[in-house]
Amino acid sequence: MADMNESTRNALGMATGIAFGALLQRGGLADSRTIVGQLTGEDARVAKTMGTAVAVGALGHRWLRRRGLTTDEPKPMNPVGLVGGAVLFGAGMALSGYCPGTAAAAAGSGRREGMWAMAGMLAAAAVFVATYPRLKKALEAGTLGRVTLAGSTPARATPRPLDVVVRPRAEDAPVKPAS
Amino acid sequence: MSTHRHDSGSGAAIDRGPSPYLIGAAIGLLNICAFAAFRKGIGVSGAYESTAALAARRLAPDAVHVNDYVKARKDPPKFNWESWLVLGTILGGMAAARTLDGNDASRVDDRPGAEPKRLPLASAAGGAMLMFGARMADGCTSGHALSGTAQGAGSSWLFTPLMFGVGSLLARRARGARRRGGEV
Repeated sequence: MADMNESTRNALGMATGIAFGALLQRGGLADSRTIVGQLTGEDARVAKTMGTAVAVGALGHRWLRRRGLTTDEPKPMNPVGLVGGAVLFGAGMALSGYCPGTAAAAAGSGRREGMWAMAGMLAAAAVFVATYPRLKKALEAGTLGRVTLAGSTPARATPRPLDVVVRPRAEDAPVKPAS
Repeated sequence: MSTHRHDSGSGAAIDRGPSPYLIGAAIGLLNICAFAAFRKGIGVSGAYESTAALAARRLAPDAVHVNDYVKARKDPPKFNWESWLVLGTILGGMAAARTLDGNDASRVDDRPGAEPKRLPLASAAGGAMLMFGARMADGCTSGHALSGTAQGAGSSWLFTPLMFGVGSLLARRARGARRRGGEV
């Protein structure tokens, strides 16, 4: 799958986006009131939706990785960028009631506020592009590299040797029940 | 714009649509497809950055220092599958809002008793803040909260609770102020 050509990837990306946008809209997440309602504690739909999506995604990701069909791509642990970014992101989400994906779905569904939010996002992205060369050092200060919760180094791009599957060695024997 | 097909009087009778667990499971399955097809989960905010960089290169390469940016990023910006994904998200939102009685936005926004609409400035300023934050952190609600946490990425498990915590705190304070003052 990884060696598909550019236009196939783009078409698949587009198809993924259409499904994503439709699901966000049908789930009520293309509405700033749902997101603000989650933040104020009046509406738990965001938590229910995201929690389920993460749980299902995590199981699928483990399954794919064990078969060498995907890789770990944890984003780097840059404390400054992550903490500063999370504070700005949380504040912006409380103010606009959107995030980058839900704003796109909202704009598509006809909400003006989604379009305004997207306009602000594109402007800020341009400012980020202009300032990134100067910010880079600060954002990556004290980086811990790519860290996963398991503490393991990310899986290699190549699948594990075949003998693990066909004839398990002692140290590769299942330690815990498969999930 | 003003087709109120809803029973406008009763604010309680809002159709909340399908179960959030069902929607969440479907998004999770979709993300699994993305993990397999792209070897990467769904991510959205990166496409805003590359789109902005491409636009800047065309419109004002010197003012935005696009060359320095490309050098620092090491990767020239491209309109790739992630950008197509964002375009698709817009189309998906459009399609869902227009079919299956999908909560047409213009109708819902005009419903009497709905919370006051956000000022365009608030939407744009909020969008700007969160996008700058997302690029600082290298991910947003999709790349970190959805895909990164599913992979057990340490960075995503730091970013996600912190950003929801900060957002919660501020949204609760804003609601308190609104209730006291009656004005946003």
